[in-house]
Amino acid sequence: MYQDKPECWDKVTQVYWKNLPELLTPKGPKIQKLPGFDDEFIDIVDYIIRITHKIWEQKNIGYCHDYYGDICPVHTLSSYSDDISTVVNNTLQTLAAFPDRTLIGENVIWRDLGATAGYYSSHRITSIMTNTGPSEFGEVTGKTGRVTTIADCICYENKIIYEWLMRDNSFLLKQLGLDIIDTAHQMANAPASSQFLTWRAAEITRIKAKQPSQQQWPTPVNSELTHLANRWIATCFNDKNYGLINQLYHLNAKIQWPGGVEGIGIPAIRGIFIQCLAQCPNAYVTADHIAVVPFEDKGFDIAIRWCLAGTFIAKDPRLEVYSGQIYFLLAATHLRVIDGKIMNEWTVFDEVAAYANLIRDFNYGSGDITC
Amino acid sequence: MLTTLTKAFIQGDWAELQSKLLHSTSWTQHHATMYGTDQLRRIPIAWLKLAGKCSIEHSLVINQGQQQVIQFDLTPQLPQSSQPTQSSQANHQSIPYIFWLETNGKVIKSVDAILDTRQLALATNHTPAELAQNLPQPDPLVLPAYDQQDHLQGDLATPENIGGLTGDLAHLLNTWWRIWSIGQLSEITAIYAENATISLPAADSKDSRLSLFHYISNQYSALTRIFCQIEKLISDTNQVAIKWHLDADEQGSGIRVPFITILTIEDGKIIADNTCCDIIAHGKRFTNSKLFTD
Repeated sequence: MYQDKPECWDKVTQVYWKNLPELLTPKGPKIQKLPGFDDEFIDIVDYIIRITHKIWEQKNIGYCHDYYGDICPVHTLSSYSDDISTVVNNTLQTLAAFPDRTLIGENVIWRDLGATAGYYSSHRITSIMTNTGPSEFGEVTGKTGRVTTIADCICYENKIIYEWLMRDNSFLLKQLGLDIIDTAHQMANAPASSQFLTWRAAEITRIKAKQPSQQQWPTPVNSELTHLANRWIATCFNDKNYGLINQLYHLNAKIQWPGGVEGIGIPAIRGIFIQCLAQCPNAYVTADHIAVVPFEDKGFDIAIRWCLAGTFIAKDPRLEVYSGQIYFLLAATHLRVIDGKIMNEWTVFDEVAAYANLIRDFNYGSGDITC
Repeated sequence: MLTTLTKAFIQGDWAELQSKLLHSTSWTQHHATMYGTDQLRRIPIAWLKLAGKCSIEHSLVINQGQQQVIQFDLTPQLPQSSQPTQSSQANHQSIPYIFWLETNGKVIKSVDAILDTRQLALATNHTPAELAQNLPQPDPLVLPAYDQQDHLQGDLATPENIGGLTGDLAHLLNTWWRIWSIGQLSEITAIYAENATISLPAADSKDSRLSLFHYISNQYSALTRIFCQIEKLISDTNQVAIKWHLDADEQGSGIRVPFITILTIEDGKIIADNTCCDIIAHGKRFTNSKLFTD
């Protein structure tokens, strides 16, 4: 039916209807070859689900050494690191601040990158977490929040060797009763590392030049759905022709965006995109990676990692002073496509970090801050 | 899942319900979405705390594919000393509690539930403020600002295009939808049977076609920029369930009211309409709204 279908595409673990005990004890033969991975893992979804559970929920933080490369670049919208000790440190700090954090694996959308490159995994997680300790956001609040994270990883021979991490921190902060802009100011007080600033500047330059990401792999991805993903980027961000949204989404499609923004139906979805782009009208977005997998026997799931760069135009008066500066997003979107159109969308980026970057740029004059 | 929910919400059998939940099951109720054992266990416990032991006056189940809608009409079996003191007829009415499940028959993936909290308060002698304290904090969701007009683009969900309906049923439900979505009140007498029983939010008794007429016209006069959106629709034999919401501006502030409507159809007309929303949770989320204030 579909060309560009990797081996065993439709046999790899689907998490939707499976409970955790079943996911943690997979039965049956190995589905994917997984060269260099531990024998216990039957496919890349199994690997991602179980190492996440082992590290975060079973609190085997030391397993980071087993499942992360000694050198593993990790990009977030607020930081860059590439050493395992930072991964361990960040895991411990988060668990100390949110000790009951659950990581519910909602979906893993993957791609076989080839024998010499491993696998790409885009893991969407819902976390429920109670803030009982000081965190990167400030003092203890005692409140419980629900947060969506998408972690994109390159997995090679049993280790994560590259990661892009997107978390909806603005929705978390709202649930904790914290002010997003105040928190962004606080985060901006800490200077950013030179590696982060260099990476961000390079990405902004690349996006403004409308260049694709240098990280590309030759293995095929379902062409029809890749085309839909690219149409989504073009229509919703670059062309800004929102009248055409009805060609992409079902009439009762539901989308979830950062900060508690949710919309159902075409008018609301149009409104969400317009509100977003009003904050950065000349934004350009690049689709930096696309993966496609089947969803049950009903449709397909698409994972898109994308970046946005443009000129910031403040909608909140408290951010007015930053208008005219470069606005940059590292984001990920999961789309569920049924009968050729999007029925569900989850888009994740860290709004708080995006604002913190604006503030830091202004305060520290970090590089070329204007478009 | 009727037995499972009955055991949980009538008998307090949490283990039975838990056996049907996934670690990834989400439960949306009272304008809050909950996950995980700790949060989900509190839902039947909170119900039992407020309503106590109840009897099921009536239940119905509508199935289509992996969607199942279960409605209970529950009557608290309060001790004599705790009987509601008001003589209002409303206090003796049962409490509608509707569950919209996504289920494969073995486990439940998601629940969207609407409890008639106003009726719960009346039936258990709680004030709305007391009941509101027992509800979870609503999620700080942002209502998107959007153009509610279609501009001849044909982008609006209808029962026909969402439910994949055809023929007379499609026509009937599209007509029903126009009553709410555009205030086409003249259609009420066309599609409702003369003796149809109609339950509406904040109503003190089972209503008639005339009451529906006045109810919707009152809503339209209180609100601007009204937009109604169908989220899900299932049909089974002669019953249809619709999950939908109404967005509007009330005195310049945006509000959203989620509804579940269950229609029973006979001889081409609606003979029963049960439209339910969570009034006290609405007041907790939209503190300035007077939409359901008596």
